[in-house]
Amino acid sequence: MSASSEARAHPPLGDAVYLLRRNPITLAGIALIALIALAGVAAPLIAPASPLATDPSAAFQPPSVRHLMGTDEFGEDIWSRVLWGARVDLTIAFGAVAIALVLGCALGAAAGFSGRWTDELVMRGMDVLQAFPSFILAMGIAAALGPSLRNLIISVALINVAVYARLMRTRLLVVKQALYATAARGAGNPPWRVLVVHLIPNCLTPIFVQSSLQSGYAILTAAGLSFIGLGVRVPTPEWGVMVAMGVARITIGAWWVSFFPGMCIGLAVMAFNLIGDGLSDLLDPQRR
Amino acid sequence: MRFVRAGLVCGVVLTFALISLLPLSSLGAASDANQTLVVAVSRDMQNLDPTNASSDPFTLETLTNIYAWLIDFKLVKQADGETIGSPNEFVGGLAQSFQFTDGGRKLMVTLRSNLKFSDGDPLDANAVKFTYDRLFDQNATTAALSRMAKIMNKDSVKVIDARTVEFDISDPNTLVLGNMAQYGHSILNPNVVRPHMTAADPYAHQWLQSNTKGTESGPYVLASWQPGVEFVFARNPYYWGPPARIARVVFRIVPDPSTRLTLLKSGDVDIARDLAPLDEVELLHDASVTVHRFPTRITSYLGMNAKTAPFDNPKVRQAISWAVPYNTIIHNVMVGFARQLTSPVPAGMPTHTDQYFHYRTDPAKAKQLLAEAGYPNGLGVTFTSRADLAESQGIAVWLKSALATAGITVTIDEMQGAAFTAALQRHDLAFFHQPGWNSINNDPFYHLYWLLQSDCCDYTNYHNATVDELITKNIISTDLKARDAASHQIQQIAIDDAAWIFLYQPDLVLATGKNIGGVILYPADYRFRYYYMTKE
Amino acid sequence: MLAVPVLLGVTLITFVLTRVLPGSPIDAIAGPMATPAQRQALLVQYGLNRPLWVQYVAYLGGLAHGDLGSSFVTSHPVASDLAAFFPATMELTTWAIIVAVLVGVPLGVWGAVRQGSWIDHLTRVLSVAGVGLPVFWVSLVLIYLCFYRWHLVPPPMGRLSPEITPPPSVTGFLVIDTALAGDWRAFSDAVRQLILPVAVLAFAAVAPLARMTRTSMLDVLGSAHTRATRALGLPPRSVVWTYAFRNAILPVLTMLAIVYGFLLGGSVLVETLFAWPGMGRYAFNAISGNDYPAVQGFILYATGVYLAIFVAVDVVSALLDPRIET
Repeated sequence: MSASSEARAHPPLGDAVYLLRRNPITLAGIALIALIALAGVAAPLIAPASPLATDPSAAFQPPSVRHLMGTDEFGEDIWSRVLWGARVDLTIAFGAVAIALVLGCALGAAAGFSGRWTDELVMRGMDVLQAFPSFILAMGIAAALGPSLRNLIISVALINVAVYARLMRTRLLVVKQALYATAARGAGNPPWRVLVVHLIPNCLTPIFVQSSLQSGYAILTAAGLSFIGLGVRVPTPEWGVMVAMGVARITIGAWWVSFFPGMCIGLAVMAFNLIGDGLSDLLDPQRR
Repeated sequence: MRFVRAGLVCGVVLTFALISLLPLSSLGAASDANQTLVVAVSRDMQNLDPTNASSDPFTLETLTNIYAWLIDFKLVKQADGETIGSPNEFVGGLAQSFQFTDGGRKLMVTLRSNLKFSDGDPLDANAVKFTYDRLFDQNATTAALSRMAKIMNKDSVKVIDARTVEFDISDPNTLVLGNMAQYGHSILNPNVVRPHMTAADPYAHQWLQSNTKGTESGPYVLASWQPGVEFVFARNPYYWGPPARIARVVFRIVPDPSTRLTLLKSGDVDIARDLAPLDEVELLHDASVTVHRFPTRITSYLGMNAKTAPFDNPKVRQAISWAVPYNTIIHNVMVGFARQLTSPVPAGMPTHTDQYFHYRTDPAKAKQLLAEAGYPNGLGVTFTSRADLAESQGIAVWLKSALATAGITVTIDEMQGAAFTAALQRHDLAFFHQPGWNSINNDPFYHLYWLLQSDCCDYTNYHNATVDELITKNIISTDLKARDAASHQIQQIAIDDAAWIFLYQPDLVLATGKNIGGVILYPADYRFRYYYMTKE
Repeated sequence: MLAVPVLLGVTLITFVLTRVLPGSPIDAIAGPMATPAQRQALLVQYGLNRPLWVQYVAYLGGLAHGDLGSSFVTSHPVASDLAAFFPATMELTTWAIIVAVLVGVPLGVWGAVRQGSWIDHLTRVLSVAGVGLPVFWVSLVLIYLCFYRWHLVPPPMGRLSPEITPPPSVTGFLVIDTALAGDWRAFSDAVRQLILPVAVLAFAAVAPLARMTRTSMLDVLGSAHTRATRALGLPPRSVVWTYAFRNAILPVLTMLAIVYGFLLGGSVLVETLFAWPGMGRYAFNAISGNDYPAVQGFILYATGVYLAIFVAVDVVSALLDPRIET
C-alpha cells in the first residue's frame, strides 16, 4: 500500500536531473543559492577581517585592493560583512519560511482534515491575519517585540502563516477525496496516518514553490524593517541593515556602502524566484 | 502579437512625449520669491497648548515664533561680532519695562501701550492675569517651573492697572526672569480662549492643542496647518514691533534626511533641518549653502544606573570612563560638530570649569580599575541605544569595540523612540545614551537640580549626600560667590565619582541657502526666530 | 456577512497589539518634567486608566457611531486624519497598479505565446529585478539620478510643490480633482510629482503580475479546449485574445488584488523617501509614537479597503466566469 502511493507522490530522481538540465536558469538559481550558502559557511575562513572590526581612520574608503568592497562609516570592511551577512540573511530566509511553513501547514491540515467547525475557525482566523496589510503587521509585531534577529524572524514568519495554511487546506480538501486516500483508509490506516503519510506529501508541491518565493520576500521584508529601524541590532552584519545605513550616504557619493549588500539581496531574491519557477515546472506532472 | 508590440512601443513613446510637453512648474512669481522662506522639516507639530505642549522641537519652535511673552532675551553683540539672544540678559518682550522692588520680592511689569492680539483684541493686564490664572489652575509643567522660581500661585499675580502687573516672589532668587522668558508664559487672549473652556475641558486644552487663531501676539501667526504635509507662518498685522522681513515661512514635512539634503543642494528649499552630521560636513564644500554652526550648552552623556550592579560600584563607572573612545566619538560620530563635555555643568553656563575633568582613553588604566573593583577577568554589560537616532547607533558601535579592548563585552540593545523614552523616564535603563539635555534657564543649580537630584530627570539615580545638600541650599540663593564655590565642589564630586560618562556638547547646525541671512542664535532655548531672517 | 466577524477579529488583534507595544504614549506627550499628577491627568483624559476590556468595549461603542477616537500624536480626530492621508496612498497605489497592469499583462501574454523568445527572457529578468531590488534603494537611486543629477522630475516634496494651492477635494485623487477644477498648472504639477514614486511601485508590481499572467496563459494555452479552438482553424490572434486570455484572466485578477493590498501596506518606505503624506507614513508615526487610536483606526480602515478590493475581485470574477455562481 505505501510503496505504490509513495512512488506516485515523489518523482524519481532521474526525471529531476533531466528537467534541471533542460532548465538552465533554474539550475543557475540553485547554484547561486548554494554559492551564497557556501560563502556564509566559509565566512570565518575567507573573510579578510572581522565583520565587527572598527577603524576610525579608515571610514568611507572606496573599493580598493585592501578593501574589495570599500569600508563603511565605522571603517568596517564591507566585503567581510557581506560574507558574514550571508549567514544572517539565509538564516532569516530559511528560518522565517520554516516557521511559517510548519505553523501554516499544521493549521491548514487541521482545517482541511478535521470537521467543519475547526475549518471555519481556522480559516476565519487566517482571513483576519491576511486582512492586515502585511508590512504594517510586520512593523507592529517587530515594534512590539523589539529589534533583534530572533524577533525579526518571528515577525516575518507570522505574516506568512496564512498563505501556507490556505494552500495546505485547499490542496488537502481535493486530495482527501482521491482514490488512493480512500484506499489507504480502507486498508485500515488510522486517520492520522492517512493524513501524514499519504495526504500531506501530495500537498507539498505548491508549498515548496511558495517556500522558495517566500524566502526571497523574507529577506526583502527584513531589509525594509531594518530601514525603518525595526530590524537586527547594530553592528550585526545583515544585508538589509547595511543597505539601510548606506542608503543615506548615496547623496554624498559613498555609493558602495549600500550598493554591494543591495546587490546581494537582489541576487538572493532572484535566485529564490528562479528556483521557485523551476520547481513549479518540475513538480507539476501536467506541466512536463 | 504585432499589435501588442506596437501598442507597447506607442505607449512608451506617448508617455515620454506627454512628460516632456508638460510645462515645468515655476517657483512662483518673481515678486513673491523673496518674501517666502521654505524650510524642510523632519516631522510634524503635535500639541500646541503653550502650558502643556508636546516636547517635540517644531511645536516648540512654532510656539516661540507666534506667541509673545512678557520678558525676552536681550540681543547682544559679542566680541566676535556675532549677535546672539543672550541667555542671561533680559529685556521686555510684551513688557515695556520691568523692575524688581521690595528686595526682590516683587516684580513690577509695565506693558507696552496699544498692544493687540492677532484678531485686533487689546492685550492688557487682564489678558496677563487670565493667562497666569489658567497656567496655575491647569497645574502642568509650566506651573511647576513657576513655583520653582517662587511665584507660587495665581494670587501671586496681581493687576495694578490696565498696563501694570505685579508678581509676588516668596523667596528672592535668580531664576525668575529666565523662567518667564519661555513659551509656557505665552500671553493668551481671553476673548478667544474663554469660550472654549467647558466643564469637560476647563482649560480649553482641546482647542489650544491645534488652534491658535486670534490669540497670537508674536511677529507671525499660524496661517495654515495641513497635518502631515506642511504648516505655514504669515506676518501678524498687529505685531507691536517692525514687521518681519520675510512675509511667509512654509514648513514642508520631508521625513527622509537624504531627501532634505538633496532639496537643499538643489535650492528647492531655503533651509534643511535635522541633517546628519556627515551630510553637514559634506555641505561645507557646497558653494550654494551656508552651514551655520553654533556651540551649545546641550549635554550629551552616557548614563549608568547607580542603583543596578555593576554600576553601583564607582570604580566600575570610573573604569568605563577610562575606556570610552572620546575622540573617536567626537570626530567620527559627530564629525567634529561637537566639543568634549568636561563637567556636569556645560561650557557656556556660569560656574563651569574644565579643571576637574581628567579622563582620557586609556584601556590599561580601565583594566586596572576593573580589577580593583573585583572584575579582573572583565565584565559583560548591556548598552541601550535609541534606534531612531543615528548618533546613538554610532556611539554604540564605537563603544562596543573600544570597551572590548578593556575587557568589557558590550551587548547592544536598541529601542525605538517611544519605548526608549518610557524606559528612560522609569529610570529602568542600566547603561544608555542620553542624547541631549538642554536647560532653558541658564542657571547651574537649576540644571544640576534636574539632572542630579530630581526624581523625574536624574535618570542615572545618582545620589550623593553632599551634592544634594549643596543644591538645595544654593538653588534659590542670591549669594553669587557661595554659589560659585558650591558649584565647583559639586562638579568635582560628580566627575570623580563618574556620575556619568561625559561625552560631548553637540553644535547646533543650521544649513541654509547662501542667500539667507539673519540667523541668530538664542543659546537659552536654541530655537530660531524667523523674525530676523532675510532672503536676498 | 463574513466581513463583520473578520473586522471584529481585526479590531481585537490590533487592540491587543497596540497595548503590547513597549512604552506608553503618556511619556512622550507629557515630557520629562511632567509631575505625577499631570501624568495621571493625561491617563484619565485618554481613558487609559480604565481596565483593558472596558477600553475595548468603549472603543467598539465609539465605532458604532463612526467615532474612531482622537490621535494622541496629532490631537486631531483619527477619522479626519484618515480622510486626509488615505487618498494620497490610494492615488499612488492605484496609478502604480494601472501602469503595472498596462505593462505587465501584455508582457506576460507575449512571454506565454512566444515562450523562450527574447521578450520572454527580458520579462523574466525584469520581473526578478523588480522584485529583488529593495524598494527604498531603487527610490533613492532614482531620486538622486532623475531629480538631482538630470533634473527630469520636480523636487520630491510631496504631492504638490509648495507654491501650488491644492484644488477643492472631490475624489481625493489630485489628478482628477485638479482636472475637474480646471487648474492645469496644478494638474501638471501633480502628474509630475507622481512620476517617480509610481514608477518605483509599478516596477515592484509588474513582476508578480507578469509572472502570473504568463503562468496562467501557459496553462490555458496548453489545455484541451485551446487545442480544440486551434484545431477548429480559428486565427491565432483570436485564439489568444478571445478565448485563452479571457480564461487566463481570473487568477490574474486575484493576484491583482493581492498586489494592490501589498502596495497599500508596503508604501511606507516609498512615502518616507518621497515625502508623500500617506497612510504608510501615518501608520509608522502612529506605531512609533504608541498612538493607540491612530494605529487601531488605520488598521481598521486599511483592512476595510482590502476586504472591499477582494469583494470587488469576486464580483468581477463572477461576471467574467459563467461557471461561478454567486
